[in-house]
Amino acid sequence: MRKEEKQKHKSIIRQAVSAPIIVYLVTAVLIVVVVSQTMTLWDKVISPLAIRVIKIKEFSALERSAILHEGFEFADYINFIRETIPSGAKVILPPHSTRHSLTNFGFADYFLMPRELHNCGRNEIDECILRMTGDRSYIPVLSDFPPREIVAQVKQFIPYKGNFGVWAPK
Amino acid sequence: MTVIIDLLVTLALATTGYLCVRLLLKEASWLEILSLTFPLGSGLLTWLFFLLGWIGIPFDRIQVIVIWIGVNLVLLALIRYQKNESASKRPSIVNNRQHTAGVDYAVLLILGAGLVISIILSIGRSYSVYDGIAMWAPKGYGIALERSLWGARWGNHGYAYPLNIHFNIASFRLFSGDLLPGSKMIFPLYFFSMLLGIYAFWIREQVHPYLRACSLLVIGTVPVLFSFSMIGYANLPMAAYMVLATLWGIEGIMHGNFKIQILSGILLGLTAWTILEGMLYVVAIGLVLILARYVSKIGEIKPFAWITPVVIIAGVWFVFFQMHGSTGSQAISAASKMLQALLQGDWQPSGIRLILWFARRNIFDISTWGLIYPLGILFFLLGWKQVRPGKNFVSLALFLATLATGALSLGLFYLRSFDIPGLYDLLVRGFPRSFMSPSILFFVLGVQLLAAIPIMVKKPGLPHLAPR
Repeated sequence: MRKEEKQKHKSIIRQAVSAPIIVYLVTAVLIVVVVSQTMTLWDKVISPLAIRVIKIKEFSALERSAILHEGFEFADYINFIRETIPSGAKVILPPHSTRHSLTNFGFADYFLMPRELHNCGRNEIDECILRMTGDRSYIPVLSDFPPREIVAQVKQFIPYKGNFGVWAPK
Repeated sequence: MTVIIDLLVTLALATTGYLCVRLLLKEASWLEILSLTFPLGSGLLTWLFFLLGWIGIPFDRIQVIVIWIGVNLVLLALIRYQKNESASKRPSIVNNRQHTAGVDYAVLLILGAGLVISIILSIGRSYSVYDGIAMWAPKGYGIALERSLWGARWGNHGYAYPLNIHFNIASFRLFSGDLLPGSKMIFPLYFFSMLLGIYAFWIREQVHPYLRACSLLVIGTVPVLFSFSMIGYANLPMAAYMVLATLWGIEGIMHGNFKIQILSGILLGLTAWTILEGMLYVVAIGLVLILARYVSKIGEIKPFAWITPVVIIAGVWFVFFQMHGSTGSQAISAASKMLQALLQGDWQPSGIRLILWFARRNIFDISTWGLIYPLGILFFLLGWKQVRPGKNFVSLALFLATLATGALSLGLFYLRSFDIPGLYDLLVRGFPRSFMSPSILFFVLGVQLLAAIPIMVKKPGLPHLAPR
């Protein structure tokens, strides 16, 4: 830039910054607001999140999702399900309910894709399970689903912890 | 390696945006370029991927690279053609807009630090909030998995939502596997692009450097906005498009500038391309800017330039939505239920009272909105005279845009109250994210009004920063 232009530019900036006292007063108020908001942001958003993120930084993206949304146990269980059920398999889930997040199709898709998901109908759980005789269909245990005495007729149990596990083709 | 690929994907999206800005705003300041590159590039490329996917072109690595190279070559050729055509013919409305002071660099440095923090935490938390897990991410991953737009069948709601965020996520998944996930970078990038766009607007409007610097930090530290820059919802990207579209629309109309109105039209189109209800906001913004123009009798609207991009971008999506998405849409179901109830005389006045009560309580909640509402109201009271018709087109347009988007956000809750039980829970879950655009526009208006009152402008005889 030419010298003259540079000088002109500097002079404009200098004049613009030398504003009436009211500008400084408003600026001071705004600085106080920024500081106050930054403290709120730090206390309520950044700091708690940073602490949680640092704690789980060693985990994969999928595990971090599971841990932050549902907790460590859920993340472990999801890992078990993913390891047990092959990626080309069909996963049978209970009817949609708010009791378990994995009954939500979209939610389960994120954790289990590319596996194909199917929800059993609310009024045909037994029939739905008895139909799953093929060697591609797997049924993870979620709460009291699937009914043990019914599913045992068509699947074999691969245990995880307690009553939890996956019912796999015989 | 994953980090490098993710950065390259981001850079590739931004490069296309940069070329678009160079084509439309030849004399744009670096701040304006920086604010527009990512939103424009990512939005236009994802729309193109969608369009080509619809006609059967697969979304795989080779095709994406070829399309990207092709688009950029076309843009480069257009820029070159424009240069050869004649630089002097093009109207320049950006005289002296590059005047920036030291405080501007300081605030940008702070913003840069904020962006880094936001990106680290956004990636660190992965997709860990419901919409991100159940909709945006699985749809993006589904598109990459099936190498087709039809992969958006994964996740909830079928094809009922525009695919901008999905294709963005799919691009990262396609090239890096999204192992970090790098796609979570896009949300902070939208937020900070919007902040830069607001800053550039205030520079153009000659807001005092101290005032604009601190005001920008006020918006940047609003807890709910910063928080939403990290969680992976599409509301903040949509707000970014809408705020940028409004500010550039005001600029384009005020100067009767053809290319700036194209830019605003594209940004409006991309608003509709990001969230389903974006379409309604686009109509609202379009109508109030036209109203502001005719009431204040300032500037000129170039209908072809402004409306064509909206019609093309939003229209193509809307046709697709009608064909494949409307059955999964909550909005359509809510609208038909509301219509039925209203026809039977059931106006649900208790719902209206609850929405207004909740809104009044929420906007003054410091841990949600910080102090932008108390400040915005104070600034508005000090400078309200600028809003009077015929006084100041920019202030009037911003005022009407704030009113329209605010009323629409409240109206959408009223609409949903007919369909979804538990209005209070719905407001708790959805109000802050639905009220981002009106809140941001309101504060931008407040600062604009404050800066325009005579006592704030300048000492007698002091020249304006950027004379028009």
